[in-house]
Amino acid sequence: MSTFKYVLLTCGFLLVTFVVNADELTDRIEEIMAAPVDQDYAAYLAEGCTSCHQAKQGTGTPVIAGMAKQHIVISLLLYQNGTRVNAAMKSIAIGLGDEEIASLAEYFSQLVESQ
Amino acid sequence: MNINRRKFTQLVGAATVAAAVPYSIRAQSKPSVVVVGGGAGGATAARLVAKNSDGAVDITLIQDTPTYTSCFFSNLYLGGFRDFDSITHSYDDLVSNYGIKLVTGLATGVDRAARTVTIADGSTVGYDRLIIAPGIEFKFDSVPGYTEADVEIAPHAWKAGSQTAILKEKLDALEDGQNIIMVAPPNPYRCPPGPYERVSMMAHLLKSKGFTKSTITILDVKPKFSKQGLFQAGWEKHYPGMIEWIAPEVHGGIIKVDAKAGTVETDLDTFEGALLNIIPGQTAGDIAHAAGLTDDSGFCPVDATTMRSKVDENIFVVGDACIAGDMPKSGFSANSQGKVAAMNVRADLLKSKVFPAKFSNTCWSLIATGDGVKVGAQYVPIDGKITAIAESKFLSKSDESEQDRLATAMEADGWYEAMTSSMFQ
Repeated sequence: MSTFKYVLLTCGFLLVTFVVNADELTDRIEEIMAAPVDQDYAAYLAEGCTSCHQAKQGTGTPVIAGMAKQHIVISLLLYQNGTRVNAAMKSIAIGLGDEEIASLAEYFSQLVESQ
Repeated sequence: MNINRRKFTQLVGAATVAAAVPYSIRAQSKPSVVVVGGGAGGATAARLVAKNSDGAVDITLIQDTPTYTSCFFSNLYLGGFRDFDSITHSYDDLVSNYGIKLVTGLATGVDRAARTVTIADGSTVGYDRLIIAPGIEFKFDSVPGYTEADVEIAPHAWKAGSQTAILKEKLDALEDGQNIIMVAPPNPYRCPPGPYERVSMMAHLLKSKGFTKSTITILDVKPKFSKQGLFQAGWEKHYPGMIEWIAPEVHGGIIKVDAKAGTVETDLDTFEGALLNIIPGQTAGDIAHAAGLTDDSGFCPVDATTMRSKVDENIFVVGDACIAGDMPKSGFSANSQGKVAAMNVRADLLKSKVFPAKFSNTCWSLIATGDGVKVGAQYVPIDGKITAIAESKFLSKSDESEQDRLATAMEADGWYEAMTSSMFQ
């Protein structure tokens, strides 16, 4: 196989992988967005987040109170799959199932950032 | 008061009944929670029980100081990155926002049968559930020659507050060419990377004053320490030639500390310093021992799913005083354990829902300006032990960019604000 064909095949493979992964991600986002949420469980899980995430904007960690639900879902999934890079967030995200991601996203999206 | 035989019999009878029934029934009031210790574990637990109970529980927080100075980030005060006020916190919001009753005093004893806590002034507070979070006490005999009488001459500063201020004063008073000797503690102890962050912050301060001749020697009693590679690389980068870590197999053991003379004698040599920072071995806070909650290790065994004492089902132990499996003794760990304990205390008293325990910890350390590193993991109960999830463990990499290190340092600042909010606001 010539080098050109090899590069072409490799690029094609990467493209297909990307599209398939993107599709899988989109499906998962939709499933999580539609998942039922237990408010008490969400509040319990959220207590773990508020050890680092402040209620109002300061230095370092971002405010997640009031963030759009879909944005939180996508962020956690991207930390899970390593696309977004932060060791502490990846450590937390890889232990979250769909129900937990849905609960946290719902909970924080309902909060209002403190002034 | 004269007590006749009949009256005496009545009193004894009443006391016997009182000891046999729960405090809340005796008091004919709301269930009562007492929290001993207003640090990362205790303040978090008190706040969360109050916040999530809508006034259905009476909560008393017993703390021996009117304000709280955090041990975490106290090294940044030593290094000049923070002022003392920024690491000192008021309990006012816990009282005004959540109706928590604050008792400023030292808890000296627990009568587990009567369910009361005794305070140094002789008064008692009754409880249905007790959360013990007293932090650590020192084993002064773990360092030969070092006694409690020496702490103002050679401060440990491993409980924050006046000790931190003393160490800072002595550090600021050093002149170029004067040396610091640290004796680092044996495992297990509060804040595993703490001694090494402290040395980094001391070196930063000396360097920022233009000192070129002063040195810092760490006489360790452990063969290795937390984030060792990251710290040692950072010391070489930022403070070349200033910091020397001496392992026990090299110095051969601490023979005698003479605080007044400013010397630490080891098998290898006698080290002399204008400033001695001696950090002894540690055990659970006194009240945990007084209450009979500790085992042979000197710390308190707890149920990994609830933080409930294995000795007494009405008592929970969180923070540095408990045996928390794989979790290090840290402010973050204590905060995380306080949340699990608070959930289970409410479930005991109010029949609220209980969810599976999840624990978390990250320890950030600052090596120099904008050079932050971190280590951490998530934890769950497995076979009765709080166990680190293997895939969740992380540690800063040695080849990280300066931008990544700066981001980590800023992340730590954000954590401090969020963490102290989750304790006090």
